[in-house]
Amino acid sequence: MNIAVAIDDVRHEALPSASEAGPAPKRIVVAYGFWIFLLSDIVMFSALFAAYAVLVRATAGGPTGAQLFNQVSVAIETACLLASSYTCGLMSLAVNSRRRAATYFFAVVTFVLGAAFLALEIREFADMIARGATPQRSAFLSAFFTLVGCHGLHVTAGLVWLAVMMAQVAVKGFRASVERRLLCFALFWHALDIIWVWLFTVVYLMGVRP
Amino acid sequence: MPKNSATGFVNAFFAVVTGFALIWHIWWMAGLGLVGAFVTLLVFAFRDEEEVEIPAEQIAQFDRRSPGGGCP
Repeated sequence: MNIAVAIDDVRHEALPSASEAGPAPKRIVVAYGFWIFLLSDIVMFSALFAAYAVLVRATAGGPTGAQLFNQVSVAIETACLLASSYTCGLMSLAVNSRRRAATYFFAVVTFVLGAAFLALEIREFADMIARGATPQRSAFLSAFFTLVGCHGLHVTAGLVWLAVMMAQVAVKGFRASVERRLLCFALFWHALDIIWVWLFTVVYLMGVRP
Repeated sequence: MPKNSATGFVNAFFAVVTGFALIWHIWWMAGLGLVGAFVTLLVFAFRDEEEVEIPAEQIAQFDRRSPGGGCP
C-alpha cells in the first residue's frame, strides 16, 4: 500500500480507494435508503399481485373483469399517469438547474395529471359499486379493490407529498434537504408509474381476455 | 448527527388513536388521528435545524474517559 502511494502519488490523491474516501455523500445515502423503502413497497405489491392472480377466476357467480372494466376510461387513466411521470422528470430537471418558476409549473402539471388519474379511478370504483360489484361480492373483487385501491392510496399520498414539497420550495428555497426530498419524490412517483404498468397489464389487459 | 426529535413518540401516540378508532369503527377519531400524525410530520419536515455538530474535542474527551465506549 505504502509503495503504491509513493509511486503514484497524484493518481492516488485524485481517486481515493473506497475505504479511504470517507462517508458517501448524503444525497447518495438518502437515495439508497429510499430505494430500499421502494423495494419493500414493491414486495408488498408483489403479494397483492399474487393474491389477485390466484383469485381472478373466483367470481362466485358475480361479475367478471370483462363485464366491469371500461377500456376507454382505463386508457385515459394510463395516459394521465404516464404523462405525469414525464412532467415529473421535467420538474427534476428544473430543480437541478434551480429554476423556480419551471419547477412550480411542472409540479402543477404533474399534480393536475395525477389528480385526473385519481378522479377517473374513483369514478370507476363508484360506478362498479353502484352496479353491485362491491369488495364483498366475490374474492375476485376483494383482490381487485385491494390491489388497485392500494395503488390509488399511494398516488393520493404522492399528491399530498408533492403539495408539501412545493410549500417547502416556497418557504425554504432549494436547500440541500429540500432537494433530497424532491429526489425521493421523483423516485416514488416513477415507481408508482412502473407499478401501474404492471397493474394495467395484469388487471385490465389480461382481465378482458376471453 | 441528526438532532433529537419527539416526532416518533408523538406519531406513535396518533397511530394508537387511529388504530383504536379503526378497530371500533369510530370514523371521526380515525380522521383525527390521521390528521394529527400528518401535522406532526409537517412540523418535523419544516424544522430549520436538522442536525447538531458534536465537536471532535468532546468525543476525544469522552473516549479518554471511557476507552472502548464503555463496552466490554
